[in-house]
Amino acid sequence: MEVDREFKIVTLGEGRVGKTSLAMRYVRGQFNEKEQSTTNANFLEKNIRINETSIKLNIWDTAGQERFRALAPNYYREAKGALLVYDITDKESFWKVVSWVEELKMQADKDISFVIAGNKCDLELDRQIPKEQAIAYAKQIGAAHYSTSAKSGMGVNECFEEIAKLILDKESRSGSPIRSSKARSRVIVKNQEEVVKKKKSGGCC
Amino acid sequence: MSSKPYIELAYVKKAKPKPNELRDATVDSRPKSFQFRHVAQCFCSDTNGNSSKITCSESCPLKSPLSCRKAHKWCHIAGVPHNSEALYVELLKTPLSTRKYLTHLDQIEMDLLRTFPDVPYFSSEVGRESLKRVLCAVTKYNIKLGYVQGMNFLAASLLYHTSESQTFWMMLILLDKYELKENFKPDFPGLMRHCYVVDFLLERRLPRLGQHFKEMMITSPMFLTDWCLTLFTRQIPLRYNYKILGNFFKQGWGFFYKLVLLILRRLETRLLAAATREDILSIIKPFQPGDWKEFVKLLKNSRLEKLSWKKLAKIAKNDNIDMELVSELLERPESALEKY
Repeated sequence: MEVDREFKIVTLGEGRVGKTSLAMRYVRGQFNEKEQSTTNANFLEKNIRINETSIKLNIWDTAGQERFRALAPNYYREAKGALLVYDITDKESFWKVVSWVEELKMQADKDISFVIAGNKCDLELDRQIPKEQAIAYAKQIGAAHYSTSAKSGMGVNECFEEIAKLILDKESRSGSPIRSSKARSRVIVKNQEEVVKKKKSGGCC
Repeated sequence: MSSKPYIELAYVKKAKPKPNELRDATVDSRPKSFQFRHVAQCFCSDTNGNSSKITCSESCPLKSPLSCRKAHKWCHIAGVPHNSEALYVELLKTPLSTRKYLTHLDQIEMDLLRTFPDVPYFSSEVGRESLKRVLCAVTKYNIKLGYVQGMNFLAASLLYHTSESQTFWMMLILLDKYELKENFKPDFPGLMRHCYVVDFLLERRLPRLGQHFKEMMITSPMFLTDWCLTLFTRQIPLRYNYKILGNFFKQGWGFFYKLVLLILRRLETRLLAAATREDILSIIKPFQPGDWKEFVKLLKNSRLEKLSWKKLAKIAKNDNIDMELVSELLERPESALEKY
């Protein structure tokens, strides 16, 4: 299969909010209750198809501890999209998302697309961040907000695909699709291709 | 932090556990007193659970029934003091409730569940509590440095083979004498230096690969960070990573560089064939610990070669690199470059 586009996206957020779990659920369809903590960054890739465009998503899954923030620019520098993850049961983790947005606006690609994921939605009873507040914030910064659960799989595909769509939209609007010459000629057999249907129900707000 | 239980546990009588108790270390029903002085979980000891065949004299004060033979050796090489327990217990007793410490404590607690969760010992309460005490003591001792992710895998890998206080001391020695502290400081100055050395060695020993990395914009921190910060303990399954630690205690960073070069050399053909940066990274950076079993297969020179982490460590150990040059590169990079 030919790849039309390659997008680099980065997951950011406080430690233990579920960045790795979301990426793993999305790419491998697995959920491990006992995920190891991430040092530095992991790298995952997945091929998807949105409308008629086949896209390879290069996902950089970063470490959450504050000390590793110094290394983060290496990973978000050329990223076209960012998945900002917070844990709905942890207020602090939401404020971390806010601070990441500030940093990305200053430091990252000016066309970077944001999607905010409120993860661990299976723990609705322990929710500390009102959904409305998160959605309002997302709206304010022009991002999409998704309620996700890496455990149940809810909203996971949707949030990653939304990033791909946002990047595609931005490209078509600016009229300069970034067509990677390397990507065009490459044949991918490694990952299973997924055809993305039009917006699925649930997940997005 | 509730330091009280530690104090109580610290003062229990130093009863020497019977050999059969040693084998059942994961059983939670053991008296609390023993939980504090837990036993190594590894399979390095002889069938009686004793570490009796150690070459040093019977009176060696380091010899603890709580450590396996390998760990005992590490203690000697690293220079763990004979009264290793005193400072450790003292630190556990010291209450600390500064904001900074509590932040680190939060992070430690967060990571306890995420350190070798697949290993029964570390998914048990006993194991987690032990690891927590060690990490807390290390953090208290180095409060300025604090706790940084990566330390958890190192401490757990040591704790798997030895007693808490000896793990604590080996962590201190690794941080100071082996300069791991530099790796964990803000902006990771040590890591950057090691990356610099690896880049230099790569250029000399594997020039084609070095050039390929440059063209593909692969910088060494991309793959070296995890390896460097955890000394491969996060990546290589716990049951095998003792070989890496043992050689690191003996040869220091020289061994680390040799192992990195060995891995890169054995992957060279695959890496040169990889056409994109992402392909290179997916070869060199397996994602999950389980993937590292597959990774060893990639390192085989031929399909028939029998390869294990133990063997790889041995090959790396006997490899040669110019340590004089390396230490000069670490200390005075500019003058070293001029000279060579």
